[in-house]
Amino acid sequence: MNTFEKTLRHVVQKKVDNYIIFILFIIAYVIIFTFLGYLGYKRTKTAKDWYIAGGKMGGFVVALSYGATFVSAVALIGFSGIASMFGQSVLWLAFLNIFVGVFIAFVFFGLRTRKIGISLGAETLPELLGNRFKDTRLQGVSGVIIAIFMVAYTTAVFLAISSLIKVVFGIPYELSVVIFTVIAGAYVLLGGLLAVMWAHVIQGITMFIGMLVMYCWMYFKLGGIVSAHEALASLTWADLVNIGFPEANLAPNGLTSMQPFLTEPFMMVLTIIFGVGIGVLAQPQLIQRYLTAKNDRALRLAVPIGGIFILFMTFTAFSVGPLCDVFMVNHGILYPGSPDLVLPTVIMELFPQWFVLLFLFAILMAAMSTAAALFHVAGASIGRDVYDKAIKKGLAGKKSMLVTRLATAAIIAVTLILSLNPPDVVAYLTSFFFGLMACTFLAPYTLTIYWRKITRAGAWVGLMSGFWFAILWYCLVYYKTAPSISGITLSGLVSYLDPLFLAIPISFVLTIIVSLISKQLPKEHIDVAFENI
Amino acid sequence: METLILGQDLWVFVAWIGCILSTLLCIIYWVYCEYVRKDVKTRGAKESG
Repeated sequence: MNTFEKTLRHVVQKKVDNYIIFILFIIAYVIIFTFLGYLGYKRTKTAKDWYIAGGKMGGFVVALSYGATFVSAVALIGFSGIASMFGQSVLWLAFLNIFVGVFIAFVFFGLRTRKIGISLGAETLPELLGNRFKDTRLQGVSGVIIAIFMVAYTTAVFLAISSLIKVVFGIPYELSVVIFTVIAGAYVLLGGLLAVMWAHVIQGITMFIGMLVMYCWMYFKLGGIVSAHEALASLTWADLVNIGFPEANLAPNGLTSMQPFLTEPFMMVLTIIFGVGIGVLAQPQLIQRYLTAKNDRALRLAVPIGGIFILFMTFTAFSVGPLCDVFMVNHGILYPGSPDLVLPTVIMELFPQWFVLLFLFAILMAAMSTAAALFHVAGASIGRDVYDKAIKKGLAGKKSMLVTRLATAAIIAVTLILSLNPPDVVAYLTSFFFGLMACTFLAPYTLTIYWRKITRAGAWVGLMSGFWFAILWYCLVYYKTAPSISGITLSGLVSYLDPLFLAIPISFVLTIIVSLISKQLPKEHIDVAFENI
Repeated sequence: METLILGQDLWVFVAWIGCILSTLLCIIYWVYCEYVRKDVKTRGAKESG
Protein backbone atom coordinates (compact mmCIF):
# COMPACT_ATOMS: atom_id res chain seq x y z
CA MET A 1 0.00 0.00 0.00
CA ASN A 2 1.55 3.34 -1.01
CA THR A 3 1.48 6.55 1.00
CA PHE A 4 -1.49 7.92 -0.86
CA GLU A 5 -3.56 4.80 -0.29
CA LYS A 6 -2.72 4.90 3.42
CA THR A 7 -3.77 8.54 3.65
CA LEU A 8 -6.96 7.96 1.72
CA ARG A 9 -7.84 4.85 3.73
CA HIS A 10 -7.38 6.90 6.88
CA VAL A 11 -9.74 9.55 5.52
CA VAL A 12 -12.22 7.00 4.32
CA GLN A 13 -12.30 5.07 7.55
CA LYS A 14 -13.59 8.21 9.23
CA LYS A 15 -16.48 8.24 6.78
CA VAL A 16 -17.18 4.66 5.90
CA ASP A 17 -16.86 3.04 9.28
CA ASN A 18 -18.69 -0.10 8.36
CA TYR A 19 -19.21 -2.19 5.31
CA ILE A 20 -22.75 -3.29 6.01
CA ILE A 21 -24.38 -0.89 3.56
CA PHE A 22 -21.90 -1.83 0.87
CA ILE A 23 -22.41 -5.55 1.44
CA LEU A 24 -26.20 -5.07 1.39
CA PHE A 25 -25.82 -3.16 -1.83
CA ILE A 26 -23.79 -5.95 -3.40
CA ILE A 27 -26.39 -8.51 -2.32
CA ALA A 28 -29.25 -6.40 -3.71
CA TYR A 29 -27.23 -5.85 -6.86
CA VAL A 30 -26.65 -9.56 -7.35
CA ILE A 31 -30.35 -10.38 -6.76
CA ILE A 32 -31.70 -7.67 -9.07
CA PHE A 33 -29.28 -8.27 -11.92
CA THR A 34 -29.55 -12.04 -11.72
CA PHE A 35 -33.32 -11.63 -11.91
CA LEU A 36 -32.93 -9.38 -14.96
CA GLY A 37 -30.61 -11.98 -16.46
CA TYR A 38 -33.26 -14.64 -15.83
CA LEU A 39 -36.00 -12.48 -17.40
CA GLY A 40 -33.76 -11.85 -20.39
CA TYR A 41 -33.06 -15.59 -20.65
CA LYS A 42 -36.79 -16.40 -20.69
CA ARG A 43 -37.48 -13.83 -23.38
CA THR A 44 -34.46 -14.51 -25.57
CA LYS A 45 -35.85 -16.90 -28.14
CA THR A 46 -34.04 -15.85 -31.31
CA ALA A 47 -30.66 -14.53 -32.38
CA LYS A 48 -32.33 -11.17 -32.94
CA ASP A 49 -33.38 -11.11 -29.27
CA TRP A 50 -29.81 -11.80 -28.21
CA TYR A 51 -28.05 -9.35 -30.52
CA ILE A 52 -30.45 -6.40 -30.67
CA ALA A 53 -32.99 -7.12 -27.89
CA GLY A 54 -35.53 -8.17 -30.51
CA GLY A 55 -35.50 -4.66 -32.00
CA LYS A 56 -38.39 -3.88 -29.66
CA MET A 57 -36.99 -1.34 -27.22
CA GLY A 58 -38.71 1.94 -26.41
CA GLY A 59 -37.10 5.39 -26.42
CA PHE A 60 -36.54 5.58 -22.67
CA VAL A 61 -34.64 2.29 -22.50
CA VAL A 62 -32.66 3.05 -25.69
CA ALA A 63 -31.66 6.49 -24.33
CA LEU A 64 -30.56 5.24 -20.91
CA SER A 65 -28.79 2.24 -22.40
CA TYR A 66 -26.96 4.48 -24.86
CA GLY A 67 -26.04 6.91 -22.08
CA ALA A 68 -24.97 4.24 -19.59
CA THR A 69 -22.84 2.53 -22.25
CA PHE A 70 -21.33 5.84 -23.36
CA VAL A 71 -20.51 7.19 -19.89
CA SER A 72 -18.13 4.92 -18.04
CA ALA A 73 -16.46 5.31 -14.67
CA VAL A 74 -13.42 6.53 -16.61
CA ALA A 75 -15.51 9.36 -18.07
CA LEU A 76 -16.83 10.43 -14.68
CA ILE A 77 -13.73 10.09 -12.50
CA GLY A 78 -10.95 10.33 -15.08
CA PHE A 79 -12.34 13.26 -17.00
CA SER A 80 -13.39 15.20 -13.91
CA GLY A 81 -9.75 14.78 -12.83
CA ILE A 82 -8.58 16.05 -16.21
CA ALA A 83 -10.94 19.02 -15.81
CA SER A 84 -9.38 19.74 -12.40
CA MET A 85 -6.06 20.21 -14.21
CA PHE A 86 -7.20 21.98 -17.38
CA GLY A 87 -10.13 23.90 -15.90
CA GLN A 88 -13.57 24.40 -17.36
CA SER A 89 -12.32 24.65 -20.96
CA VAL A 90 -12.97 20.90 -21.00
CA LEU A 91 -16.67 21.83 -21.01
CA TRP A 92 -16.27 21.93 -24.80
CA LEU A 93 -16.14 18.17 -24.59
CA ALA A 94 -19.44 18.10 -22.68
CA PHE A 95 -20.90 20.30 -25.44
CA LEU A 96 -19.72 17.84 -28.11
CA ASN A 97 -20.96 14.90 -26.02
CA ILE A 98 -24.47 16.34 -26.12
CA PHE A 99 -24.53 18.00 -29.55
CA VAL A 100 -22.54 15.40 -31.50
CA GLY A 101 -22.83 12.40 -29.17
CA VAL A 102 -26.60 12.61 -28.83
CA PHE A 103 -28.20 15.05 -31.29
CA ILE A 104 -26.08 14.41 -34.41
CA ALA A 105 -25.64 10.75 -33.49
CA PHE A 106 -29.34 9.91 -33.21
CA VAL A 107 -30.78 12.33 -35.78
CA PHE A 108 -28.22 11.93 -38.58
CA PHE A 109 -26.81 8.46 -37.87
CA GLY A 110 -29.28 6.55 -35.68
CA LEU A 111 -32.41 6.86 -37.80
CA ARG A 112 -30.63 5.90 -41.03
CA THR A 113 -28.63 3.11 -39.40
CA ARG A 114 -31.81 1.50 -38.08
CA LYS A 115 -33.60 1.73 -41.44
CA ILE A 116 -30.68 0.36 -43.46
CA GLY A 117 -29.99 -2.23 -40.76
CA ILE A 118 -33.56 -3.53 -41.07
CA SER A 119 -33.36 -3.59 -44.89
CA LEU A 120 -30.12 -5.55 -44.79
CA GLY A 121 -30.98 -7.73 -41.79
CA ALA A 122 -27.93 -6.43 -39.90
CA GLU A 123 -27.62 -6.87 -36.15
CA THR A 124 -24.10 -5.53 -35.52
CA LEU A 125 -21.97 -2.78 -37.05
CA PRO A 126 -19.66 -5.27 -38.82
CA GLU A 127 -22.74 -7.02 -40.17
CA LEU A 128 -24.10 -3.73 -41.47
CA LEU A 129 -20.83 -3.27 -43.40
CA GLY A 130 -20.64 -6.93 -44.44
CA ASN A 131 -24.22 -7.07 -45.76
CA ARG A 132 -24.03 -3.66 -47.41
CA PHE A 133 -20.96 -4.74 -49.41
CA LYS A 134 -21.79 -8.45 -49.66
CA ASP A 135 -18.46 -9.20 -48.06
CA THR A 136 -18.22 -11.55 -45.09
CA ARG A 137 -14.45 -11.02 -44.84
CA LEU A 138 -15.00 -7.31 -44.22
CA GLN A 139 -17.44 -8.27 -41.47
CA GLY A 140 -14.98 -10.75 -39.96
CA VAL A 141 -12.03 -8.35 -39.95
CA SER A 142 -14.18 -5.60 -38.40
CA GLY A 143 -15.33 -8.09 -35.75
CA VAL A 144 -11.76 -9.07 -34.87
CA ILE A 145 -10.65 -5.42 -34.51
CA ILE A 146 -13.64 -4.65 -32.28
CA ALA A 147 -13.23 -7.77 -30.10
CA ILE A 148 -9.50 -7.26 -29.43
CA PHE A 149 -9.77 -3.62 -28.47
CA MET A 150 -12.96 -4.09 -26.48
CA VAL A 151 -11.39 -6.74 -24.26
CA ALA A 152 -8.60 -4.28 -23.43
CA TYR A 153 -11.07 -1.47 -22.79
CA THR A 154 -13.24 -3.66 -20.55
CA THR A 155 -10.15 -4.71 -18.62
CA ALA A 156 -9.38 -1.04 -18.01
CA VAL A 157 -12.92 -0.46 -16.73
CA PHE A 158 -12.58 -3.25 -14.13
CA LEU A 159 -9.09 -2.11 -13.28
CA ALA A 160 -10.34 1.41 -12.49
CA ILE A 161 -13.34 0.39 -10.43
CA SER A 162 -11.55 -2.33 -8.47
CA SER A 163 -8.72 0.07 -7.62
CA LEU A 164 -11.30 2.53 -6.29
CA ILE A 165 -13.07 -0.15 -4.24
CA LYS A 166 -9.71 -1.24 -2.83
CA VAL A 167 -8.86 2.31 -1.80
CA VAL A 168 -12.28 3.07 -0.33
CA PHE A 169 -13.19 -0.19 1.39
CA GLY A 170 -9.90 -1.97 1.65
CA ILE A 171 -11.41 -4.93 -0.20
CA PRO A 172 -8.58 -6.73 -2.02
CA TYR A 173 -8.30 -5.71 -5.66
CA GLU A 174 -8.42 -9.31 -6.88
CA LEU A 175 -11.63 -10.03 -4.97
CA SER A 176 -13.34 -6.95 -6.41
CA VAL A 177 -12.29 -7.89 -9.93
CA VAL A 178 -13.68 -11.41 -9.53
CA ILE A 179 -16.97 -10.22 -7.94
CA PHE A 180 -17.73 -7.54 -10.51
CA THR A 181 -16.62 -9.52 -13.56
CA VAL A 182 -18.70 -12.51 -12.48
CA ILE A 183 -21.82 -10.39 -11.77
CA ALA A 184 -21.64 -8.47 -15.06
CA GLY A 185 -20.67 -11.59 -16.99
CA ALA A 186 -23.51 -13.64 -15.49
CA TYR A 187 -26.37 -11.43 -16.55
CA VAL A 188 -24.88 -10.80 -19.99
CA LEU A 189 -24.49 -14.54 -20.56
CA LEU A 190 -27.94 -15.33 -19.23
CA GLY A 191 -30.05 -12.62 -20.75
CA GLY A 192 -28.15 -11.19 -23.71
CA LEU A 193 -28.85 -7.61 -24.72
CA LEU A 194 -32.33 -7.62 -23.15
CA ALA A 195 -30.82 -8.07 -19.69
CA VAL A 196 -28.01 -5.63 -20.45
CA MET A 197 -30.43 -2.89 -21.51
CA TRP A 198 -32.85 -3.38 -18.61
CA ALA A 199 -29.89 -3.26 -16.24
CA HIS A 200 -28.79 -0.05 -17.95
CA VAL A 201 -32.06 1.61 -16.93
CA ILE A 202 -31.40 0.92 -13.22
CA GLN A 203 -27.73 1.82 -13.58
CA GLY A 204 -28.55 5.00 -15.53
CA ILE A 205 -31.05 6.21 -12.92
CA THR A 206 -28.52 5.59 -10.10
CA MET A 207 -25.84 7.49 -12.02
CA PHE A 208 -28.26 10.34 -12.72
CA ILE A 209 -29.25 10.74 -9.05
CA GLY A 210 -25.62 10.56 -7.90
CA MET A 211 -24.42 13.21 -10.34
CA LEU A 212 -27.43 15.48 -9.74
CA VAL A 213 -26.89 15.48 -5.98
CA MET A 214 -23.17 16.10 -6.40
CA TYR A 215 -23.70 19.01 -8.80
CA CYS A 216 -26.26 20.72 -6.55
CA TRP A 217 -24.26 20.12 -3.36
CA MET A 218 -21.00 21.51 -4.74
CA TYR A 219 -22.54 24.66 -6.20
CA PHE A 220 -24.67 25.16 -3.07
CA LYS A 221 -21.60 24.92 -0.83
CA LEU A 222 -19.79 27.50 -2.96
CA GLY A 223 -22.71 29.95 -2.91
CA GLY A 224 -24.23 29.35 -6.35
CA ILE A 225 -23.01 29.32 -9.91
CA VAL A 226 -21.53 32.84 -10.10
CA SER A 227 -19.74 32.70 -6.75
CA ALA A 228 -18.42 29.22 -7.46
CA HIS A 229 -17.05 30.25 -10.85
CA GLU A 230 -15.59 33.46 -9.43
CA ALA A 231 -13.87 31.51 -6.66
CA LEU A 232 -12.49 29.17 -9.31
CA ALA A 233 -11.39 32.08 -11.54
CA SER A 234 -9.51 33.67 -8.65
CA LEU A 235 -7.42 30.54 -8.01
CA THR A 236 -3.86 30.83 -9.30
CA TRP A 237 -1.70 27.90 -10.32
CA ALA A 238 0.58 28.82 -7.41
CA ASP A 239 -2.34 28.09 -5.04
CA LEU A 240 -2.61 24.64 -6.59
CA VAL A 241 1.14 24.01 -6.50
CA ASN A 242 1.00 24.83 -2.78
CA ILE A 243 -1.31 21.87 -2.22
CA GLY A 244 0.84 19.57 -4.29
CA PHE A 245 -0.36 20.00 -7.88
CA PRO A 246 2.34 19.48 -10.56
CA GLU A 247 4.42 22.54 -11.47
CA ALA A 248 3.44 22.50 -15.14
CA ASN A 249 0.62 25.00 -15.52
CA LEU A 250 -2.10 23.51 -17.73
CA ALA A 251 -4.49 26.44 -17.37
CA PRO A 252 -2.26 29.50 -17.91
CA ASN A 253 -5.23 31.87 -18.27
CA GLY A 254 -7.02 30.55 -15.21
CA LEU A 255 -9.37 27.66 -14.51
CA THR A 256 -12.44 29.32 -16.01
CA SER A 257 -10.64 30.46 -19.18
CA MET A 258 -9.56 28.87 -22.42
CA GLN A 259 -5.87 27.98 -22.80
CA PRO A 260 -3.82 30.43 -24.93
CA PHE A 261 -4.27 29.57 -28.62
CA LEU A 262 -1.83 27.01 -30.11
CA THR A 263 0.15 26.50 -26.92
CA GLU A 264 0.89 23.00 -25.63
CA PRO A 265 -1.96 23.03 -23.06
CA PHE A 266 -4.32 24.26 -25.79
CA MET A 267 -3.34 21.39 -28.07
CA MET A 268 -3.80 18.91 -25.21
CA VAL A 269 -7.31 20.22 -24.53
CA LEU A 270 -8.10 20.20 -28.25
CA THR A 271 -7.08 16.58 -28.59
CA ILE A 272 -9.11 15.56 -25.51
CA ILE A 273 -12.17 17.42 -26.77
CA PHE A 274 -12.18 16.14 -30.34
CA GLY A 275 -10.75 12.69 -29.69
CA VAL A 276 -13.73 11.70 -27.59
CA GLY A 277 -16.22 14.30 -28.86
CA ILE A 278 -16.13 13.15 -32.49
CA GLY A 279 -15.04 9.58 -31.82
CA VAL A 280 -18.40 8.80 -30.27
CA LEU A 281 -20.05 8.63 -33.70
CA ALA A 282 -18.32 5.40 -34.65
CA GLN A 283 -18.39 3.33 -31.46
CA PRO A 284 -19.78 -0.15 -32.29
CA GLN A 285 -21.33 -0.60 -28.83
CA LEU A 286 -23.30 2.65 -29.28
CA ILE A 287 -24.27 2.04 -32.90
CA GLN A 288 -25.83 -1.25 -31.80
CA ARG A 289 -28.28 0.72 -29.62
CA TYR A 290 -29.89 2.29 -32.71
CA LEU A 291 -30.70 -1.18 -34.00
CA THR A 292 -32.55 -2.07 -30.79
CA ALA A 293 -35.20 0.66 -31.17
CA LYS A 294 -38.70 -0.57 -31.98
CA ASN A 295 -39.38 2.33 -34.37
CA ASP A 296 -38.23 5.79 -35.43
CA ARG A 297 -40.43 7.34 -32.79
CA ALA A 298 -38.48 5.53 -30.07
CA LEU A 299 -35.20 6.82 -31.49
CA ARG A 300 -36.58 10.36 -31.57
CA LEU A 301 -37.73 10.09 -27.94
CA ALA A 302 -34.22 8.94 -27.05
CA VAL A 303 -32.85 12.30 -28.23
CA PRO A 304 -34.18 14.51 -25.38
CA ILE A 305 -33.78 11.80 -22.73
CA GLY A 306 -30.23 11.06 -23.88
CA GLY A 307 -29.44 14.80 -24.05
CA ILE A 308 -30.61 15.42 -20.48
CA PHE A 309 -28.81 12.28 -19.24
CA ILE A 310 -25.48 13.23 -20.82
CA LEU A 311 -25.89 16.82 -19.56
CA PHE A 312 -26.06 15.51 -16.01
CA MET A 313 -23.13 13.18 -16.58
CA THR A 314 -20.36 14.91 -18.50
CA PHE A 315 -21.42 18.54 -18.00
CA THR A 316 -21.60 17.83 -14.27
CA ALA A 317 -18.28 15.95 -14.18
CA PHE A 318 -16.43 18.68 -16.12
CA SER A 319 -18.02 21.47 -14.03
CA VAL A 320 -17.34 19.95 -10.63
CA GLY A 321 -13.86 18.64 -11.49
CA PRO A 322 -12.33 22.15 -11.40
CA LEU A 323 -14.52 23.10 -8.41
CA CYS A 324 -12.72 20.36 -6.47
CA ASP A 325 -9.63 22.58 -6.72
CA VAL A 326 -11.47 25.33 -4.82
CA PHE A 327 -12.55 22.88 -2.10
CA MET A 328 -9.03 21.48 -1.85
CA VAL A 329 -7.42 24.91 -1.51
CA ASN A 330 -10.09 26.17 0.92
CA HIS A 331 -9.87 23.09 3.14
CA GLY A 332 -6.15 22.49 2.80
CA ILE A 333 -6.65 19.08 1.20
CA LEU A 334 -3.48 17.85 -0.47
CA TYR A 335 -3.39 16.84 -4.14
CA PRO A 336 -3.78 13.05 -4.10
CA GLY A 337 -1.03 12.38 -6.62
CA SER A 338 -3.22 11.57 -9.61
CA PRO A 339 -6.00 13.50 -11.38
CA ASP A 340 -8.15 10.35 -11.21
CA LEU A 341 -8.27 10.65 -7.43
CA VAL A 342 -9.13 14.35 -7.14
CA LEU A 343 -12.93 13.94 -7.20
CA PRO A 344 -13.03 10.81 -4.95
CA THR A 345 -10.72 12.55 -2.44
CA VAL A 346 -12.87 15.69 -2.21
CA ILE A 347 -16.06 13.64 -1.92
CA MET A 348 -14.65 11.45 0.81
CA GLU A 349 -13.22 14.39 2.74
CA LEU A 350 -16.18 16.72 2.56
CA PHE A 351 -19.36 14.83 1.77
CA PRO A 352 -21.55 12.99 4.28
CA GLN A 353 -21.25 9.20 4.45
CA TRP A 354 -24.53 8.52 2.66
CA PHE A 355 -23.31 10.47 -0.33
CA VAL A 356 -19.91 8.76 -0.38
CA LEU A 357 -21.81 5.49 -0.76
CA LEU A 358 -24.24 6.92 -3.34
CA PHE A 359 -21.31 8.28 -5.35
CA LEU A 360 -19.52 4.97 -5.16
CA PHE A 361 -22.64 3.12 -6.30
CA ALA A 362 -23.06 5.58 -9.17
CA ILE A 363 -19.46 5.04 -10.28
CA LEU A 364 -19.82 1.30 -9.88
CA MET A 365 -22.97 1.38 -12.01
CA ALA A 366 -21.18 3.45 -14.65
CA ALA A 367 -18.38 0.90 -14.78
CA MET A 368 -20.63 -2.16 -14.80
CA SER A 369 -23.00 -0.80 -17.44
CA THR A 370 -20.15 -0.04 -19.83
CA ALA A 371 -18.45 -3.37 -19.12
CA ALA A 372 -21.64 -5.39 -19.70
CA ALA A 373 -22.27 -3.63 -23.01
CA LEU A 374 -18.68 -4.27 -24.10
CA PHE A 375 -18.89 -7.95 -23.14
CA HIS A 376 -22.00 -8.28 -25.25
CA VAL A 377 -20.63 -6.50 -28.32
CA ALA A 378 -17.27 -8.27 -28.17
CA GLY A 379 -19.04 -11.66 -27.87
CA ALA A 380 -21.29 -10.80 -30.81
CA SER A 381 -18.26 -9.77 -32.86
CA ILE A 382 -16.61 -13.16 -32.39
CA GLY A 383 -19.74 -15.34 -32.55
CA ARG A 384 -21.76 -13.57 -35.21
CA ASP A 385 -19.25 -11.60 -37.28
CA VAL A 386 -16.18 -13.82 -37.22
CA TYR A 387 -17.48 -17.38 -36.69
CA ASP A 388 -20.92 -17.36 -38.30
CA LYS A 389 -20.38 -14.95 -41.18
CA ALA A 390 -16.65 -14.87 -41.99
CA ILE A 391 -15.85 -18.53 -41.27
CA LYS A 392 -19.14 -20.39 -41.80
CA LYS A 393 -20.46 -17.95 -44.43
CA GLY A 394 -23.76 -17.54 -42.59
CA LEU A 395 -24.45 -21.28 -42.47
CA ALA A 396 -23.78 -21.87 -38.79
CA GLY A 397 -27.52 -21.91 -38.02
CA LYS A 398 -28.38 -22.56 -34.36
CA LYS A 399 -24.70 -23.13 -33.63
CA SER A 400 -24.15 -19.40 -34.16
CA MET A 401 -25.97 -18.53 -30.91
CA LEU A 402 -24.14 -21.22 -28.99
CA VAL A 403 -20.79 -20.02 -30.32
CA THR A 404 -21.70 -16.41 -29.47
CA ARG A 405 -22.50 -17.41 -25.88
CA LEU A 406 -19.27 -19.40 -25.66
CA ALA A 407 -17.33 -16.51 -27.20
CA THR A 408 -18.88 -14.11 -24.67
CA ALA A 409 -17.92 -16.50 -21.84
CA ALA A 410 -14.38 -16.70 -23.24
CA ILE A 411 -14.16 -12.91 -23.46
CA ILE A 412 -15.35 -12.59 -19.85
CA ALA A 413 -12.69 -15.14 -18.80
CA VAL A 414 -9.94 -13.35 -20.76
CA THR A 415 -11.00 -10.01 -19.28
CA LEU A 416 -10.87 -11.53 -15.80
CA ILE A 417 -7.38 -12.94 -16.37
CA LEU A 418 -6.12 -9.66 -17.84
CA SER A 419 -7.70 -7.63 -15.04
CA LEU A 420 -6.04 -9.77 -12.37
CA ASN A 421 -2.64 -9.24 -13.91
CA PRO A 422 -2.92 -6.39 -16.42
CA PRO A 423 -0.07 -6.30 -18.93
CA ASP A 424 1.22 -2.92 -20.20
CA VAL A 425 -0.38 -3.52 -23.56
CA VAL A 426 -3.82 -3.10 -21.95
CA ALA A 427 -3.08 0.51 -21.10
CA TYR A 428 -2.00 1.19 -24.70
CA LEU A 429 -4.96 -0.55 -26.28
CA THR A 430 -7.31 1.32 -23.95
CA SER A 431 -5.84 4.69 -24.74
CA PHE A 432 -6.29 3.82 -28.42
CA PHE A 433 -9.84 2.53 -28.11
CA PHE A 434 -12.11 5.52 -28.70
CA GLY A 435 -9.91 7.21 -31.28
CA LEU A 436 -9.08 4.00 -33.09
CA MET A 437 -12.72 2.97 -33.48
CA ALA A 438 -13.48 6.41 -34.93
CA CYS A 439 -10.48 6.38 -37.29
CA THR A 440 -11.32 2.86 -38.47
CA PHE A 441 -15.08 2.98 -38.86
CA LEU A 442 -16.32 6.57 -39.14
CA ALA A 443 -15.66 7.12 -42.86
CA PRO A 444 -16.83 3.73 -44.18
CA TYR A 445 -19.81 3.71 -41.79
CA THR A 446 -20.93 7.24 -42.67
CA LEU A 447 -20.61 6.66 -46.42
CA THR A 448 -22.31 3.27 -46.08
CA ILE A 449 -25.49 4.89 -44.79
CA TYR A 450 -25.31 8.08 -46.86
CA TRP A 451 -23.68 7.35 -50.23
CA ARG A 452 -25.08 4.86 -52.70
CA LYS A 453 -21.87 4.82 -54.76
CA ILE A 454 -19.49 3.56 -52.07
CA THR A 455 -18.00 0.25 -53.20
CA ARG A 456 -16.59 -2.81 -51.47
CA ALA A 457 -13.03 -1.78 -52.38
CA GLY A 458 -13.71 1.76 -51.16
CA ALA A 459 -14.95 0.46 -47.81
CA TRP A 460 -11.89 -1.80 -47.39
CA VAL A 461 -9.46 1.02 -48.19
CA GLY A 462 -11.28 3.46 -45.90
CA LEU A 463 -11.32 0.98 -43.02
CA MET A 464 -7.72 -0.15 -43.37
CA SER A 465 -6.25 3.31 -44.03
CA GLY A 466 -7.98 4.74 -40.94
CA PHE A 467 -6.95 1.78 -38.79
CA TRP A 468 -3.28 1.64 -39.79
CA PHE A 469 -2.78 5.40 -39.88
CA ALA A 470 -4.12 5.63 -36.33
CA ILE A 471 -1.98 2.70 -35.10
CA LEU A 472 1.19 4.19 -36.63
CA TRP A 473 0.39 7.64 -35.27
CA TYR A 474 -0.17 6.29 -31.76
CA CYS A 475 3.07 4.28 -31.96
CA LEU A 476 5.34 6.85 -33.58
CA VAL A 477 3.98 10.36 -33.07
CA TYR A 478 1.33 10.87 -30.39
CA TYR A 479 2.84 12.40 -27.25
CA LYS A 480 0.90 10.22 -24.80
CA THR A 481 1.70 6.85 -26.36
CA ALA A 482 4.70 7.04 -28.74
CA PRO A 483 7.43 7.57 -26.09
CA SER A 484 6.42 4.44 -24.15
CA ILE A 485 5.67 2.25 -27.18
CA SER A 486 8.43 3.09 -29.65
CA GLY A 487 10.66 5.35 -27.56
CA ILE A 488 10.15 8.18 -30.04
CA THR A 489 9.49 11.63 -28.59
CA LEU A 490 8.73 14.21 -31.21
CA SER A 491 8.95 17.88 -30.45
CA GLY A 492 6.46 20.38 -31.84
CA LEU A 493 2.73 20.81 -31.64
CA VAL A 494 2.02 18.08 -34.21
CA SER A 495 2.74 15.37 -31.63
CA TYR A 496 -0.20 16.65 -29.56
CA LEU A 497 -2.66 16.03 -32.38
CA ASP A 498 -4.97 13.07 -31.94
CA PRO A 499 -4.66 10.83 -35.04
CA LEU A 500 -8.34 11.31 -35.64
CA PHE A 501 -7.69 14.82 -37.02
CA LEU A 502 -5.79 13.29 -39.93
CA ALA A 503 -6.94 9.68 -40.12
CA ILE A 504 -10.63 10.47 -40.56
CA PRO A 505 -10.16 12.95 -43.46
CA ILE A 506 -7.66 10.57 -45.11
CA SER A 507 -10.06 7.65 -44.68
CA PHE A 508 -12.95 9.68 -46.16
CA VAL A 509 -10.90 10.87 -49.16
CA LEU A 510 -9.50 7.42 -49.95
CA THR A 511 -12.90 5.74 -49.57
CA ILE A 512 -14.43 8.21 -52.03
CA ILE A 513 -11.56 8.06 -54.57
CA VAL A 514 -11.39 4.26 -54.57
CA SER A 515 -15.19 3.99 -54.77
CA LEU A 516 -15.24 6.25 -57.82
CA ILE A 517 -12.73 4.09 -59.73
CA SER A 518 -13.73 0.60 -58.57
CA LYS A 519 -16.57 -1.71 -59.52
CA GLN A 520 -19.99 -0.66 -58.29
CA LEU A 521 -22.30 -3.03 -56.43
CA PRO A 522 -25.44 -4.19 -58.30
CA LYS A 523 -28.10 -1.47 -58.40
CA GLU A 524 -30.78 -3.87 -57.09
CA HIS A 525 -28.71 -4.54 -53.97
CA ILE A 526 -28.26 -0.83 -53.30
CA ASP A 527 -31.99 -0.28 -53.82
CA VAL A 528 -32.73 -2.90 -51.19
CA ALA A 529 -30.34 -1.24 -48.73
CA PHE A 530 -31.95 2.17 -49.18
CA GLU A 531 -35.57 1.02 -49.60
CA ASN A 532 -36.69 2.48 -46.25
CA ILE A 533 -34.87 5.79 -46.60
CA MET B 1 -8.34 42.13 -17.10
CA GLU B 2 -10.65 40.13 -19.31
CA THR B 3 -14.39 40.48 -18.76
CA LEU B 4 -15.92 37.34 -17.27
CA ILE B 5 -19.47 36.13 -17.84
CA LEU B 6 -20.80 34.06 -14.92
CA GLY B 7 -17.20 33.96 -13.77
CA GLN B 8 -16.02 32.41 -17.06
CA ASP B 9 -14.18 33.84 -20.05
CA LEU B 10 -16.10 34.11 -23.33
CA TRP B 11 -14.93 30.78 -24.83
CA VAL B 12 -15.65 28.77 -21.70
CA PHE B 13 -18.98 30.52 -21.26
CA VAL B 14 -19.90 29.62 -24.86
CA ALA B 15 -19.13 25.97 -24.08
CA TRP B 16 -21.12 26.16 -20.82
CA ILE B 17 -24.18 27.75 -22.41
CA GLY B 18 -23.68 25.50 -25.47
CA CYS B 19 -24.24 22.43 -23.28
CA ILE B 20 -27.53 23.80 -22.04
CA LEU B 21 -28.64 24.99 -25.50
CA SER B 22 -27.74 21.61 -27.06
CA THR B 23 -29.90 19.87 -24.49
CA LEU B 24 -32.71 22.29 -25.29
CA LEU B 25 -32.19 21.55 -28.98
CA CYS B 26 -32.62 17.83 -28.25
CA ILE B 27 -35.90 18.56 -26.43
CA ILE B 28 -37.16 20.96 -29.12
CA TYR B 29 -36.31 18.43 -31.86
CA TRP B 30 -38.44 15.78 -30.15
CA VAL B 31 -41.33 18.19 -29.53
CA TYR B 32 -41.16 19.27 -33.20
CA CYS B 33 -41.15 15.67 -34.51
CA GLU B 34 -43.76 14.45 -32.09
CA TYR B 35 -46.27 17.29 -32.20
CA VAL B 36 -45.52 19.99 -34.81
CA ARG B 37 -44.40 17.92 -37.81
CA LYS B 38 -46.98 15.23 -37.16
CA ASP B 39 -49.64 17.91 -37.03
CA VAL B 40 -48.49 19.41 -40.34
CA LYS B 41 -48.41 15.93 -41.96
CA THR B 42 -51.88 15.05 -40.67
CA ARG B 43 -53.29 18.36 -41.90
CA GLY B 44 -51.60 17.90 -45.30
CA ALA B 45 -52.98 14.36 -45.60
CA LYS B 46 -56.49 15.56 -44.72
CA GLU B 47 -56.30 18.38 -47.26
CA SER B 48 -55.05 16.12 -50.07
CA GLY B 49 -57.44 13.32 -49.07
